[in-house]
Amino acid sequence: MKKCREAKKEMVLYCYGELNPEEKSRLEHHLADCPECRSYYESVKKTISLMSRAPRMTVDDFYWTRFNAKINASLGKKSGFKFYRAIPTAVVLAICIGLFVYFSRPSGKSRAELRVPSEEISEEISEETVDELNYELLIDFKDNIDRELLNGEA
Amino acid sequence: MDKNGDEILVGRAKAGSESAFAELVRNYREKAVHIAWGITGDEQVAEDISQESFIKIYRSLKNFREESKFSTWFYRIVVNLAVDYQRRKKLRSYIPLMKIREPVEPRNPALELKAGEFNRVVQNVLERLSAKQRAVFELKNFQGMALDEIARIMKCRTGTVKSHLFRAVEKMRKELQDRET
Repeated sequence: MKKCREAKKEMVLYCYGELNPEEKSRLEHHLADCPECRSYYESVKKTISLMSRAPRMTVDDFYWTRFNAKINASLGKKSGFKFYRAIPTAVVLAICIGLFVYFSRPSGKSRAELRVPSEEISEEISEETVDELNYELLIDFKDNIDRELLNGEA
Repeated sequence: MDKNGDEILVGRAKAGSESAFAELVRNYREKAVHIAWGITGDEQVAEDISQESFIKIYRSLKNFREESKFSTWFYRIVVNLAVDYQRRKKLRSYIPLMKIREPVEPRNPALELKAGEFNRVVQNVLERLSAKQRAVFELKNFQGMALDEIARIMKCRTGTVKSHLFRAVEKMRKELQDRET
């Protein structure tokens, strides 16, 4: 029957208090007169009651700590650390390192002592080499003269 | 959180106040997780969906015109993500996905169900619902929202919400009746 079909649709809303006073009154009158709909209504009520007792997810406080941390991580926030607040510290640190490096470098005098030794050594070697070469040339020349004198080519 | 309180927090958060956004998270996180869990039945998925919802809110807060309540906008995001997840699930397994922290003693002796079996039955029955039916049932039955509020969240007519609710309860009723016999 149409009345029963309509009544069944309204029973769920009736259980949740979603019917206006007129609809509510009409349904209640129908339930009083229709045993089949009354039985159906009891079945709907039991279903809603049972499903409402379904266990719900439970969490502890630590869950929310992790929950918030994950959101912050996804948004690029790390426990409230503000990158721009580290800039002054970074600047001061850079200046300190620069000053340290500047004042730690060798002085002019000591630099002379640390002159590449190969330069001085090469100069000394060069002078010696020249002397040796000159001496050897002189010896060769003398030998050649001697040889020529011996061979009668003078 | 009342509408005025939300308006103030949203205004401050839009202006860049991180503490205001953090307070919005604090006020809405519990309900977000429960709604997502009620629709999906999965703790980890519920957590992911809730977090993603807050991230979406954070990124689009400046574009929020405040034509609807913040709560309506926020829950719409949560419900849409959860419903999308449910729809994408290829297999509706009978295996319960949620972790039950406390066993529930059935209060209806006529059914004579043990606590573990009761949880299993309930979860199985919920899995039979469509994603939208489950969403409407969660919002109405467990969150106590009014039908017109649910309609605004789900961007549909109130009549559609009533239809989803009726079908959800009818499906559950038949499932439970079949198990009794």
